Amino acid sequence: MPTLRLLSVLAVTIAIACGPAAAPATPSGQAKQMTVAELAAYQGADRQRILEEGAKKEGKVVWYTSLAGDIVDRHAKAFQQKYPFIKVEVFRGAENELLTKATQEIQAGQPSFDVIESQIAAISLLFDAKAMAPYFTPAAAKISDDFKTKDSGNLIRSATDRISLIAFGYNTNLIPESAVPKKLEDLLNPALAGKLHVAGTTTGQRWLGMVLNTMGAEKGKQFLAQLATQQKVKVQQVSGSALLDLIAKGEVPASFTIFKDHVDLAAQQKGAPVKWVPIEQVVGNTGQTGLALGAKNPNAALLYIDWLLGEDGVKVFHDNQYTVASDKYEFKIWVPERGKTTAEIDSDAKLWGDLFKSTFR
Amino acid sequence: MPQPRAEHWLFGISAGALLYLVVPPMLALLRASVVVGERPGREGTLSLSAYGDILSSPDLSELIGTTLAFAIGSTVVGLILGGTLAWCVERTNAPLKQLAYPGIFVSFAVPGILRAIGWVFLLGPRTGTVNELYRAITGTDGTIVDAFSLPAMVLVEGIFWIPLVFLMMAASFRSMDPSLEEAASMSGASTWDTVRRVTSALALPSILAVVMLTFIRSVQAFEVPLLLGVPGKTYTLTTEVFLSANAGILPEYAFASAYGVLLVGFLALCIALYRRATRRASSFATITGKGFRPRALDLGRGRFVATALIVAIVSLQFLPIVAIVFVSFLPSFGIAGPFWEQVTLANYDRVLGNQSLILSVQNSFAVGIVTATAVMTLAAIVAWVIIRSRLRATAALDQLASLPLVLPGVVLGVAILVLYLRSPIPVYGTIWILVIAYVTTYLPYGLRYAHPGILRIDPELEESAQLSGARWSEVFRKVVVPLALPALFAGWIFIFLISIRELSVAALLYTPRSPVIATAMLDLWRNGSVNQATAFGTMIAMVSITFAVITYRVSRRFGLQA
Repeated sequence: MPTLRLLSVLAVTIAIACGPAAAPATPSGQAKQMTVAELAAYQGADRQRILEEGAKKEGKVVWYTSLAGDIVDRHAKAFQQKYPFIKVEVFRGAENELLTKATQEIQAGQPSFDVIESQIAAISLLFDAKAMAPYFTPAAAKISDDFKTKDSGNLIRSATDRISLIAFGYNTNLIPESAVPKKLEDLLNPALAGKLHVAGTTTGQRWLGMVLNTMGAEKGKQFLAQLATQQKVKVQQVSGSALLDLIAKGEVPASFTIFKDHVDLAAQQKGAPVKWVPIEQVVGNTGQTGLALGAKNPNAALLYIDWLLGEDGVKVFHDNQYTVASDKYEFKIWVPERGKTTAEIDSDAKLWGDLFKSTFR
Repeated sequence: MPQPRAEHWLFGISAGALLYLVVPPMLALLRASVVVGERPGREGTLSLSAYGDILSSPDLSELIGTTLAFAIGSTVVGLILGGTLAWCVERTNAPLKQLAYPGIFVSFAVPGILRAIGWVFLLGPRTGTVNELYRAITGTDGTIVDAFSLPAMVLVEGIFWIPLVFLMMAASFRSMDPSLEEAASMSGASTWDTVRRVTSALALPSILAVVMLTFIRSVQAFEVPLLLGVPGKTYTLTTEVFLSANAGILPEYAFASAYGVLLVGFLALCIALYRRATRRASSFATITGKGFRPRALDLGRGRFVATALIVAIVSLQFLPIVAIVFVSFLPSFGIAGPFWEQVTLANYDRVLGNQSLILSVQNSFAVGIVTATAVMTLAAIVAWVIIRSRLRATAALDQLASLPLVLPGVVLGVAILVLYLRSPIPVYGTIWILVIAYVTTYLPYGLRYAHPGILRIDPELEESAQLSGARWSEVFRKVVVPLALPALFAGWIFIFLISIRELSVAALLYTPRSPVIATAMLDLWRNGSVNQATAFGTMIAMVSITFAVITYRVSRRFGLQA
């Protein structure tokens, strides 16, 4: 089977190398097109040239992403500067929206996306539905095993393009330096009583998972119960960044479910009185990139994946205060989904959701 | 009365259109409510657990109590404030009353979620402007109002409903024959008695329509209960449903769907009551063969009180927006130093830097205009059939057109997605799929605007046109539509403006090639910049208001003059 695949890849390579005019001259009369899976696995020295030539014919790539804000357009624009012949069409949505849309398209036999960028769980679910293709990208070599999901050989199912770090954010006018926690237990400091808020979204639920992972299930649950009753933690149902706005305004003094990149942006560029400190373990929300098995523009898609995970993409992420997989930190990052099957991710999410409700209600 | 044939084929057309629009999403709602654990590539299992979980929620009676208190309170607040505003504007000689329309239109373009945040900034116990003022004035360190409490939730939700109530009631007041009120005052009734026993009685269909819409939607509202209720531990059925649905890797639409299904029975009851109250159509016929011109009541000195009321009620729309617009000129919240030293246009600059913005405005306006026109056309025909036809099945028509009221936006989005991915009608991937979704969503509103509008027309007018040899289409075009125009246009404006800022339906159905304003707004909101989202909202509000005011002016030329 591998020999057969190699042969067909070879045939296509030769056909393309000889130019379109030569194609009819092959014995079968027509060069066999590589399937998406074959193209995705191809690692020959001429990969870049094959992809570029294919992408020229495709002319576009359709990208589904759960990234939000300026960064989306900046990626698309920077990519188009490098490959002016590929237009990037973007559909952006929350993770569950992307997943719903992608699933329904796949089930109706009309997948319209080439590349999807979302959390591990989403890509993992799509793999279970046999809608994704493992791929090779030279950029993966620089990403540690912790931040990619491997398939056979040096193919990967998905790799982390960015990480959002979640820990303690506070208003510097309202929380004295002495009360700023350094470890989980410090959250029980009486000086913080009545001042702590938690995000009621999945971010808060994952934070609970981190506590259980760090302290162990029994001790963790005890700690959470004490935290909720003693410190009178309030639940806020706004988006992560709106919660930070409430902290900057002073309506909410502090929260242990705050995104580092939001604080960096608010404090460094805008001068808001907010600060972020890590409390181990820091929860990592990772965005991963995957390739659709039914991609209509596989060449452009692979170029886009190379770009997103490679140096050019990293630069755009860094310019926008995002953390990427190759960045180094002195604190321990915990990615809730790492190394888990979809079923495990699912049951964890359910468990933490129920625990969140019973703890903070 | 119409010829039997017209009556029949109009009923057929209405029923056909309604069945096409309403039945598939309702079936999807039913299905979603009994299928749990669906995953990509894996079938879900049939289960009534979503119903069970809702009905066995801990403290169910308390949850129902809070939900009812919230919904009834919001309805009353909306009705009183919106109704008062409409009366002051349409029926009195209060100075500055022309400010009300643009003032009301402003609030449309800013999504509820942003306005709710604005209210937190105003009423927050720690740093809310109102509480800070209170502390400054009294010298104490207490709070006068807490944003995270049931009364604040009722107030905020009630204020959200003012535009709907105002537009509907204003159309009703404008078409009212003043001779009835004159007769009351001639007989010695005070102004208050006249308002209560004549004006309100004649406006009953509009009042009931408003109560029905606001009450059912408040029972389902989730922005205010989530943002203001949860931090203060005030839980409603919606927050309970929302929190259960979001524990897990994928949201379970089953809970929201089951909740919607449970509300169907409730909706049927509301419609039955409405039909009963408006059964004797002739009681509400204020537009008769006698010519009339609605007269503005001379309030004497009281007119300044009316102006104060107008300003106060319109301000309630503005305040939360102002609270965040203020910040749209600042780099961030909580920055020390005077405002004028920090002021920046950076937020506007970033929003304007978005290339697809102009395209999204064009798309949204196109979708809004087509949606509003389609809904009001269909609603006018359906309302006319319901009122004038003696066919018994019209009750079913009314119920059918009102059903989408119980559909949660996200469920409708999924239903339309599933349907048109498999349909031979090639709308998937175009903006027309949004039009179909919006027409379904706003049909109940359109009908509630059109129904009282047509109810006000004395059937004699149509009969005399017919006796003079006019065919049905001519009667409808030349008599019914012009006379119902204030109500139809109020509905048109409402739907046009609300469709522009609708977020939950658009989130799933927009396509990369045709962005709409809502998706740009969602993006800004999720990316977390309240400042930028507000800057964008402010700009959209300006464009929409200009458009709304111009169309409003034009329409008044053709409609009844106040």
